[in-house]
Amino acid sequence: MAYEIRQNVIDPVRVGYQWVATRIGRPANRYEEGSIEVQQQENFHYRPLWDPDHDIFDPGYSALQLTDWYSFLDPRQYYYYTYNQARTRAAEALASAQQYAEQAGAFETLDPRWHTVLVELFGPLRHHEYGAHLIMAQVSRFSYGTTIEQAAIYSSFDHLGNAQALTKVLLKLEGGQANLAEARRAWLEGEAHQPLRRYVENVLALRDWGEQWTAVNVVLNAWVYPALYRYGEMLGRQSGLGMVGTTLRYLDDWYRDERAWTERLLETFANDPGHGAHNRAVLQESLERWRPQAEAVLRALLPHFHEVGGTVEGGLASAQAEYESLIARMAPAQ
Amino acid sequence: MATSKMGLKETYRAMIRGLEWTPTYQPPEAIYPYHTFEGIKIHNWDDWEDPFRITVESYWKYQAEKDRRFYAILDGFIQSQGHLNISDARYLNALKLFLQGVTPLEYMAHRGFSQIARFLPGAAPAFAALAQSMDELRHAQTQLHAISPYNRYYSGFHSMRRWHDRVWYLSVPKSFFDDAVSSGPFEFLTAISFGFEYLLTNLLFVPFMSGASFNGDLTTMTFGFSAQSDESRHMTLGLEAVKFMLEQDEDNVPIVQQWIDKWFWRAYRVTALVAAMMDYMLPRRFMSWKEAFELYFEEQMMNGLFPDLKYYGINPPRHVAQAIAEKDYLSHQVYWVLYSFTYAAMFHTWVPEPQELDWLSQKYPGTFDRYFRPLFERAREAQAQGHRHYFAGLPQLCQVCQIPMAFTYPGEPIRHQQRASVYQGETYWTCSEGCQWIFEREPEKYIQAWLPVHEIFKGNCGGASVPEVLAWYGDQGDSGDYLDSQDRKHWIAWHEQVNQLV
Repeated sequence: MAYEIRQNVIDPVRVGYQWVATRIGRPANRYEEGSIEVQQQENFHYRPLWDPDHDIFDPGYSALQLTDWYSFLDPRQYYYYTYNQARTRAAEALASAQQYAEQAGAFETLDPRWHTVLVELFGPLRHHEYGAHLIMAQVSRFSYGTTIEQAAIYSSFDHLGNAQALTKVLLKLEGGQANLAEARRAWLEGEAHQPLRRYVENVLALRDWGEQWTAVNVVLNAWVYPALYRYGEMLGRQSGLGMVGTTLRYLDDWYRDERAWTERLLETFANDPGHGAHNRAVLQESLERWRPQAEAVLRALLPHFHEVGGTVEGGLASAQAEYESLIARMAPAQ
Repeated sequence: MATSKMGLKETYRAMIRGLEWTPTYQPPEAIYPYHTFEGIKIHNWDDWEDPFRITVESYWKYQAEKDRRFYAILDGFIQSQGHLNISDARYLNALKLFLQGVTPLEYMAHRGFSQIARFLPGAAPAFAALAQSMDELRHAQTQLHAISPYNRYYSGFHSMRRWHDRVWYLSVPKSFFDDAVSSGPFEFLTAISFGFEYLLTNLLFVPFMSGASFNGDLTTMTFGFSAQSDESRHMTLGLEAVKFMLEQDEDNVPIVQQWIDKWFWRAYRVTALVAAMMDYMLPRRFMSWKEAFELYFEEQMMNGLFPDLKYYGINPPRHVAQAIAEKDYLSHQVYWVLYSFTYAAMFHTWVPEPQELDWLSQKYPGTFDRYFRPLFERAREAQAQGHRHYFAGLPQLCQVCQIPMAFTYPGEPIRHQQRASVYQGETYWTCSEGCQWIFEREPEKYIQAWLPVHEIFKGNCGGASVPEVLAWYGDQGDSGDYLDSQDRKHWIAWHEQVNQLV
């Protein structure tokens, strides 16, 4: 027996918005309807006072080009609602784990070696996250097409959330607000963090959003998150980080999610029917410029793990494998 | 725990403030190149007051919860053929104007605030801008989703994106927002956060939501209520941004004053379309344009806000007297223009019903019967004889606001105004003292305007004839009089179908 509510159905006149229907030829889902070709495309009225050589939205803001800017769709299908839903779920899980850790006294009884690593290595990364959030806001403003820029604005917001997640850990640890000051000093002056700060500032000064995206999403992320958060969490499980390590896990999980759209966009650029070869050359040049710098960032930071049983080579191996598997996506599709 | 010892305010500060730093590997101006060229002086970004204290985590939580409710209602609406419950299919023309004219502005605001979030060196205002960028994307998407079920049954929605870029009356809102995003960051904040979101929001955005509520449009109304808490954050940002600039340096005062003068008039001219919508397109009216203008602008802004701003040396907008003088006839002039050119508009117009004409007489006792009722009565007679009135030919558009040049001298409902300015040997026409002042302040900007009528004559819009231009618009019977429309035919047929069930 079927449960059958009779519905008063009136046949619709059309399946959906014209521009989505033309493109996909079936009723659109909410991601598609809210993302495809939403951006204004033509007949802009005025040139920006701050950049008269470009239009308000202009494919010329980057050397990377696509024949069809909507050939990229976010594999996670994040539109505003599903994005916030996914993030609040992850944040709630983290908050509940942390609450448990707090009740168990995990922050107070934390192994002092890990206290040092959290404040001195991870604390300054609040500022790295802040810088990355600015870079992705710039990608959101200047990239072309709603599907790319939408993924970027969520990434920008995420990076700021990451900075706050790290802030929370520092505040919960012995030392509280003093930890933030200590971390800031290390970011500005500590030798170990200078290659990273230089990297972030150099990317911030770029005008080409495509190169910014490559330098952060393809290169830096693939080195920083696996080598620091994933490897750090693994070390923590072996050496007394305990429940406090859930924040490191949270950041690594975030990275895995971020990688999903990064690899799809990378594939899209590299395999574009009209610009694929050009894009691969542009990407290759960027990778050659940024990859050694990312490795230098990690070589400077990874010695922080010595005290808790880590090695520079161990962290680098984890990053290297991640990076190689990501850029393998540039190979022409089979 | 350390956090529990800290107050809410302290925790918030730790979460947002102090994350930014002064770069040393790059010159600061290489990283923040855009906030100085307008001449605004900021001495201490830390003076910024955060009017709302929200973390990323709480933002995710609130917004996900609001959207969960919104989409649940939307799904119910779709399942129950909710579009049949609106007051009348004529109402949808207000909604068409909204989706074609306003939704793309939400999207443009999103991109504009991404730029503010990136390039303002202060962490607190940058975060406020980032949250607003997110909100504006939300509004663009939820509006597309809220109105999508109507699009499946009615005309005037299906190609809104293309229309926004191409169709003549939509260059009014489009050029407004293009003007703002092509400006520097502080002017953008004054234009959008202060002018659009604070000064005139109850005349620009809110009337569509009130109209939805009065006319049984459940999805748009639900969106409107759901956006309320976002909008109040945006309004607060607008006021704080202006006060912050004024407090930082006295030299900022004359610059901000000129922006307020410019953006008041620019936004006020966009409200002309809203005025026509409120008085003519809503089968169930919630108030007249004049009443709204008096309450939301004269009472709340002129008598409430501007006396406060006087303290900073800010005067009411330069051309405010002209706006006040127009309140008795603005909506009628603009609707008559829309009525006369509907053969090329992506919505329908119609002659108001007799009881609606009486309502207009009552709301506009000094002007309606004398100047405007006769126009509509003649139009009705002509239509009855098979000659629906259309204006033959294309109108001259104002170089600044881009509305057809139908406006009159302040306080004189029928003496037309056409103002000429010469720049680099060319003559440019504007509709009013306000638009002329804006033009002459930045002629090099306004001569760039993509004026739809000029472009049609230049052959850039599919051809020189009306059918060619309509084809370029992608018209599918979206234009013309409501009486001849598919919408009306369907509305009647679907209601008959439902009534037969009884």
